[in-house]
Amino acid sequence: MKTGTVLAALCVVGLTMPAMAGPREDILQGYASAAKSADAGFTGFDAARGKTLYGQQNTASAESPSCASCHSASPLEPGKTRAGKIIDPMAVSATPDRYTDAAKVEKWFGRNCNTVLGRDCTAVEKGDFITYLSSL
Amino acid sequence: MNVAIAPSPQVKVWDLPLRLFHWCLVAACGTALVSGFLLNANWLSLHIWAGGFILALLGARMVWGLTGPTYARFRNFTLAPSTAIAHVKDILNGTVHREGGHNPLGAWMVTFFFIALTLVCLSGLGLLGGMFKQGPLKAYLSFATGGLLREPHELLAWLVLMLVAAHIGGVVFESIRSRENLARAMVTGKKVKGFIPAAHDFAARPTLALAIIAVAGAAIGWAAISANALPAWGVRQVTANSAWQEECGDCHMAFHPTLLPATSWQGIMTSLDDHFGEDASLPASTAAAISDYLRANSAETSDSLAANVFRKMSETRPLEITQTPFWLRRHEHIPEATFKAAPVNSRQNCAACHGDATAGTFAPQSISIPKETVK
Ligand code: HEC
Ligand code: HEC
Ligand code: HEC
Repeated sequence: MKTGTVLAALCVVGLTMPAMAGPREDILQGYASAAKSADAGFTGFDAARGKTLYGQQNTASAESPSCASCHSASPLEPGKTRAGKIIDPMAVSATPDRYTDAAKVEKWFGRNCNTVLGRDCTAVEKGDFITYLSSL
Repeated sequence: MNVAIAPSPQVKVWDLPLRLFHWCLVAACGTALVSGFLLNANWLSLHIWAGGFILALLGARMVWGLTGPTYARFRNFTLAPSTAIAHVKDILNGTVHREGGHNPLGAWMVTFFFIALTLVCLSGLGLLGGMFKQGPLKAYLSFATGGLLREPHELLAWLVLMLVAAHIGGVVFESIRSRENLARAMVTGKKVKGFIPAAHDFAARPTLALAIIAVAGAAIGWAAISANALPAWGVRQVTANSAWQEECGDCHMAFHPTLLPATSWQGIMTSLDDHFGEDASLPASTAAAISDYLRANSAETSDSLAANVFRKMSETRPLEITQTPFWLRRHEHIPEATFKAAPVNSRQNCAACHGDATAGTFAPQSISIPKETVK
């Protein structure tokens, strides 16, 4: 059964992503398998949902209502933290080493989803987010 | 028609080195007083150079007072109280004597002036060494000792200012009374014949003077330069820590550990999941390592200016450097817009205005508010 999940995940990734292995693909694959095990009906990541997550206004934090409030409205532009430090653009096309260090990706999803949404992001949300930012 | 007026015969009293000394001292005192009383912290370098120059001038004048010509010699400064009293009586009677050198009140004034100037410069050096950890005394004085000299330095500066006023007043008064422009005499060196000559005649010994100044100057200069190279008293040399640098430098500059007391660091490191409204949480082991590092190098461990001034926290917001009474006081004149605009972007971006912020030094000479960049 476990092999089945992994195989299914691999199939999904194979369908949604260019068939090129690398650290970013490994990370996405991990999220895909987690998504699949949480919900058997999972069919794949969606850049449009990722775009919504990136830009939507939330109510958990007045200072940081959206991902875009730090990461800038356009993911191709540099963002700025609340304390004024410049953040490199989130789009992979602008900052090629984005989403390639699993520990870093998990650390920041953990922090920023909690700050902005007041909760953890699901594996689907994480995968959608990276898929969106890899597609620009 | 030209009417030829026979020039009154004049005699040289003030020699060239003495006149140079006088006008250099005027320039240096003016610079030191203006930069000290009126200009902001950026001008500290100029203030320090002016003070150092005054000390050098005073040193040279001491030598010239023992080796110079008649009117430069201290032997001819009449400081006996009886002479001063007699002089005051003369002023009151309207009796006018013209002295070749300083009149008895002038001699007292100059003596006071030299003493006050020496003290103001030395207290300044102490203050600079103790509080700012700069200059030849930085290895010997604590921040607290330097702090003790702060008020005396300022009071002495006021005294100098009053002596300057008294000196100018005295020169004007005496010039009118004796019908001789004494300020011009300090330029040309000459006074109209017929004054009371100095009590003792001396021949100048310029070679001896130069030799003493060269040897003493070299010795003092060497001592000052070597002392300046010593490590500053009590300033903690912090070695950078990569976990701190990486984990605490993502959202703002990694604040130097000496900028907050250990209890504040403790408070920050135990509340990272709600860090000023943001989740900045770290794995427990990383947090523990950073916490150890910050507390081992906290403000209490260093005697630097920044470590001293930021030790006194805000009572309501004890975790923030920018809420300390000192920070608020020293930055209150900076408009909010300056902090908000690029490239500063926030109050927490100390390094934008303080060139030495990452080292935790915060010397006044390194402050420069960058020009706003337009997007
Ligand atoms: C308060 C400011 C802030 C907000 C709001 C914010 N982030 Fe971030 N984010 C950062 C910073 C700072 C970094 C680390 C700097 C860098 O990677 O250049 C970062 C990094 C990331 C990374 C890691 C990127 C990589 O290269 O691996 C991800 C993923 C991420 N953020 C996701 C999000 C998501 C999703 C949201 C909204 C739910 C969000 N962020 C909202 C400040 C913010
Ligand atoms: C996720 C982003 C983020 C990370 C990571 C982070 N900080 Fe902060 N920090 C902030 C924000 C936002 C503020 C508040 C800025 C403001 O007041 O506008 C702040 C403020 C501070 C302040 C108070 C600054 C002041 O105004 O005086 C200190 C001290 C501080 N952080 C220490 C740390 C330390 C130590 C670490 C590493 C363990 C760390 N920070 C990591 C975002 C972060
Ligand atoms: C917008 C520019 C700016 C920023 C940002 C800024 N400062 Fe300053 N700071 C100044 C100026 C200007 C002065 C000098 C004020 C004066 O003339 O008295 C000063 C003075 C100081 C002094 C006193 C220096 C001395 O030697 O007397 C300290 C210490 C200091 N700042 C620390 C900080 C710290 C810590 C931060 C970051 C948390 C910070 N500053 C952020 C501009 C800034």
